[in-house]
Amino acid sequence: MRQKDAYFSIPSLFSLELKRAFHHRVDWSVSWLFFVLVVSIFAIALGGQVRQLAPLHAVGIIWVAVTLSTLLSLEKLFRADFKQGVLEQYLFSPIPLSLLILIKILLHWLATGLPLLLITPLMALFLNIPLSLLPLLLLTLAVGTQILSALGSLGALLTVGLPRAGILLSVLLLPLYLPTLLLAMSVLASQVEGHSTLGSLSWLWVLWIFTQLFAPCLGAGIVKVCLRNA
Amino acid sequence: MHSMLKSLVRRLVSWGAPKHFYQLATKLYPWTLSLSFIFLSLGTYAGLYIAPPDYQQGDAFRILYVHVPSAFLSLGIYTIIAICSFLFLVWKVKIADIIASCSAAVGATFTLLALATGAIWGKPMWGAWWVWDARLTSELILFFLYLGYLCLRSAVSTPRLSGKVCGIFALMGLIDIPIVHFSVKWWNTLHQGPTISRWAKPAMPWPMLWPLLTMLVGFGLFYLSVLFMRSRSELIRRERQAQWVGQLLRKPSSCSMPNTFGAVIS
Repeated sequence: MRQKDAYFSIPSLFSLELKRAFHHRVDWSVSWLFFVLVVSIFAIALGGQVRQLAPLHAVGIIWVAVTLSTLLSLEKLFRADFKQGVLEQYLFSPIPLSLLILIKILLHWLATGLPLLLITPLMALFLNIPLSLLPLLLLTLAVGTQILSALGSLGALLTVGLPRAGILLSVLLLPLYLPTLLLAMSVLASQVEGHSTLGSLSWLWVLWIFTQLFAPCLGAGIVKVCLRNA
Repeated sequence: MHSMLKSLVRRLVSWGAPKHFYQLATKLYPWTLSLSFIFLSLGTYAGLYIAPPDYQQGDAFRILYVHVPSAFLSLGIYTIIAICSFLFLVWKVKIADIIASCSAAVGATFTLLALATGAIWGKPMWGAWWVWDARLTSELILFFLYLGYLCLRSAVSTPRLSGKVCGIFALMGLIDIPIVHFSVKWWNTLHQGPTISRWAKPAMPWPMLWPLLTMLVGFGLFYLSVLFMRSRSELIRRERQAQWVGQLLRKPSSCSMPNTFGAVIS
């Protein structure tokens, strides 16, 4: 097989990953189920006072719940591949390792971020978020969850194979997730206060471009450096 | 001139070998520890009694003499950890990994101290223990980065893999350091601007400034002493199969630690 023929296998690789994720769909559902539970807990605990919840507080709760739910599904992203030795095989593949990791990041977003995005309108109803804020919330979530998936895959690669990787992953990733959270909240805050959202939104786009470009390459570097030792 | 430089570089590189670094650390740590205590006592006394009271804040500003050195070192130690991680990842310098792993706990403590003294200072000055402005938030993120680094260190058991994994994590978090440093310039924050800058004349008068510089030197020497003490035991642990460690542990007098006044207790 010629070198460049290997690139034709990328769509089948991607569909294989999707089929595998669909086969384990109950496992992957943990994150959006957790999201629904967390938002419900807030709504139930606040009781009647949900009507008095300020829009900014409510979208803050949604964003925190999304961040925590994303953390839950990251551990299984590379675990099966690492255990079966597929990750080491990736080192020798003719397809660049960064491209393979980009496929994984995209898969993680489709399996975690997209369901969260689809369920958010219902959760916005739970927390009494005004309909005018919903489109911008969905936009920040759409961009933000992709950033969280990209950064999360780096954390998952750093801790792959370690014991108690799940909780360690959360401790490592939360400081790295905070800038995304702050940026998304500043976009929503500027909308609520009536200023132009263009500035903060532009910074969110910059972060998106930056992470999507560099996370796969950094992930490939992590695989090369860490797997040669284990 | 060229050969002098080459021999100096060769001497510096030889200190990076585990055995020589152990000997260097053993020789230096009593001196750095005693010097740091001298500087810290002098700086504390001067800061509390000799420095004149501030015209705006009165005597309450004196917590600056603990807050500024600990904040400065919290950033500096993370930078040292990042540089050592880079050296270890690229050139596989073993001593760099040891320096990074021994500095992390001290750095985390200094960050916590900076946050706590900042809160104590903030309550009478700004009326609030804590505000979510740019500098405080980014310093808190730095504290979380230190904690994550420490957790990662203890989670990975093999030294070589732990060095690489923690090194990559440290470099990923390096972006926070310029954010903390420039946060007072870039954002509209409650925290005051930089007092000591490299280019401009310091905004503080000399009677107030010299205790601060003394405390800064004292804190730095304290960090070096802790680094030397921790790296000695870390070196022995990692190089326990090496011949020089065996010789060291077999000699009865070399095991005893010199006390701070240089005499050997046998």
